[in-house]
This record gives sequence, C-alpha cells and structure tokens, in this order.
Amino acid sequence: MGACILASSQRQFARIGDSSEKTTLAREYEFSSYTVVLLGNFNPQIFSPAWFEKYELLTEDEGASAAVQIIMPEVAQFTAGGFSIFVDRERFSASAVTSAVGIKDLVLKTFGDYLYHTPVHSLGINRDVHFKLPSQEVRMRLGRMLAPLAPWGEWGAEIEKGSGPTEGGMASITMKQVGIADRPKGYLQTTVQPSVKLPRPVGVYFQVNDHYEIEDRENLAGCEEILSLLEANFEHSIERAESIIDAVLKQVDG
Amino acid sequence: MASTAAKEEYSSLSTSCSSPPESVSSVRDTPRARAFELLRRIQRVGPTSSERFEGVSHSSPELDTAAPSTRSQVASFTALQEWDGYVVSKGHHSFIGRLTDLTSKGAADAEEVEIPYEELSDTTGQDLEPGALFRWSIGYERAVGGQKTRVSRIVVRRLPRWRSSKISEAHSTAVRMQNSIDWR
Repeated sequence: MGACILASSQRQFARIGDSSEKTTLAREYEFSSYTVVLLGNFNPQIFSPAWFEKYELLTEDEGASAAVQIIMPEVAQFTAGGFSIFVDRERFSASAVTSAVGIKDLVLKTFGDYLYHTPVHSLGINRDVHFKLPSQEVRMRLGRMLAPLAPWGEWGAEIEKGSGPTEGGMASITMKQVGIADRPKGYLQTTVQPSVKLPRPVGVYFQVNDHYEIEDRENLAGCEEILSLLEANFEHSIERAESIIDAVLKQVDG
Repeated sequence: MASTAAKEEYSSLSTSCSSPPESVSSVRDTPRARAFELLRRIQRVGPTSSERFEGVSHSSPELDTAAPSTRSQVASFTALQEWDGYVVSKGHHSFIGRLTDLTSKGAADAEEVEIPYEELSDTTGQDLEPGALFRWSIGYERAVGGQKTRVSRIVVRRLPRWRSSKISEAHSTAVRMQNSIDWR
C-alpha cells in the first residue's frame, strides 16, 4: 500500500504493508454521488443542521459550517458534513459524494434512533456517476451499441446521416429488472444518457436506482421494515451498481 | 449517443426511487409541487417543472446552477484502498486501530495501525473512544474544476443504537443455536 499512502503520513502508516494482491483499480468518475431516498410521510420543518447536531448526527464543526437553502413546513434543503439533505412531505433524500457508508449510517441512525415512527414505504439506493470517455467517437459507439439504429428503419438511416454537431442518436435508455428475490417488492433500474455536466461531448451519465418497497402499505406503522432492507442491502446494492456501470463501460474501453 | 443533450429529460430522470415521473399538470397541487414553488422563488432561478425538483442528484444541472455555493466542491471520490477498523486505544497524539482490509478482502482485524489525530477533524478526535468503529479510505478526490488530489479520509461510524427488539431477536437466535447442539 506504500504507494497509495500520503507522503506526510508514511511513518504512521508504514505497518500496513503491501496490498499488491489488488489487481483492479476503481474507475475514476468526473462526478459521482451516493443517495438514499425514503418515500413516506415526513415533517420537513424538523430537519435542520441544528436538529442533526443536537442528536449528534452531525458534529459541532459540521453543524457550524452547514449551508441552508431552505427550511419551511413544506420543504427543507441543506448541505452539512458532506451530506446534502432534501425533505418534502413525501420524500427524504440524503446524498454524499465521498462516503457511501456515511450516508447509510446517517439514515439508519436518524430514523432508527429518533424518527422510528415515521411511516416509510419505499427505499431507493441510488448511484449517480458521470464518466469521461476518450472521445466523442467512443461515446457515439457506446450509444449505437446500446440503441442500434437499424430497428428504426428509414428514420434510423436519416439519423445515421448526421455528423459532428448534427449527429443524432441515443438520448436516454433505461433498463429495468423486476421480481428481484431480495425484496418484497421493487426493481432495479439503470439509465444511461449523454452527460450534461461535462463541457465536451465525451461524457456519459449513469443512474442506477435500486428500489425497495414493503409488501403492505395499508398497515404502515413506522420505518423499521424499510430500515432493515437498507441495512441488509446497502453495500451489495452499491457494489452491484458499480458492476453494472463497469460492464457497460467495458464494452467501449475493453 | 446524441451530442445534443435534452436537459428536461435529464432532470426528470433524477427522480431516484419514485415511480415514473408525473406530468407537470398532475403534480401542480401536490405538496411537492408547492414545495418546489417555494424553493424556486427563494432561489430566483431555474426550473419551471416539478420534475426538476430532485435537488440532490448530480443529474440536475438546473439546481447546480441555482445554488453553487451550497454544493460540495468535491465532485467525486475514488477509493484506492479501504479498511474497516476499530479503536483499540488512545494516546496523546494518536490512536491505535485494528483494521480489516476491504479492498483485498483481507482477514478480519489482521492489521494494526497508529493513526494521528490530525487525520481527523478536531471534534471527531475528541469524541473517539476505544471500540469506536471507523472506515478509512485512501484515494483520489476530484474537485468540480477537475483538479485531482490524493486524500486519506477517516469516517467515524455513527451506528444506530441496539433496539430491544433486535436484542431479543439475537437472544432467540442464540437460544435456538444452543438448543440445536447435540451434546452427546
């Protein structure tokens, strides 16, 4: 691991040793985030950096440096401690760029320890990434592979004639898996689009949406069932999202 | 892939785990639509359809434009090496942790390491106690402008308390296991 350790910390970390058994490196995304979404009934007004700090869900430093966009009865939105929190009456969502496990812990502790009576019927474990491909040609190849023009007949042939800025093709494709064994109800869905966040037309955007629902919404008493699903599935869900994205990108970068 | 990006499609697809996006007209009177209106007025910019109100996703360029100062300046983090660990003991300037290598799926608690408190934020360092769990990641952080920095990050786990129902469940499992042992 020596090569991966910060120079200033080498003395302290020297005992960790070598991890040369690791053969593959993770892909480097231009933008990426992890998001946990809960659907149910929420009271947005209680969600504030001060509330999270009071219950030690954020540290004092994190609470002090929070950036609040809005906190009202209908909606709350703020960023603190590397998390972006959004809440309205039907949705709670927490996202982070750097720490997947931090998001999982935050949601489990917030709702498991303090808001366990909140009725929550659905859970989303989402991975969003923007990846830079080597060139526009490679991106076009990926688009053509995922959505070939031939089945579109004459229109497909017309699209094929374009070049450069007039070159058309796939704008969005979504694949969905249903009937997954690890949940009462739900689906796994992946969307691929050209990225609008990268300045040159070489970016590709993936969103993997892993959706879980409880079986019986009628007798919903709290969020324990959904939190159990989050606790049991989070790591695997993120790993699966990475492998889906990797499988698609391998088609064009070998 | 088309080089002309359809912004509306992008933002509507950042809906995370909800059902397929509703049409603008059908959600105009819902709490979400009202909340969206409030936020839009405060931000004074941006979206005009409620489908775009998924502010936490990176796929929502409108909200990035709306509130750049409140978004993290870190665009992505790529972990090269990760460990799960727990605090064994605390010293004046550092603590001793026992680590399990997640990257190479190493044996549990196989490594011991001394980590200086300067690797943690001030308040996190103060609160750390023996037994505390942490995730240590070393990797590349990419800034919104594209700059890449190698970083070491320690996240102290904030795990939920054990609930009495879970303890009872664990107790029942232990009793079941004990009873299933054939002592002969």
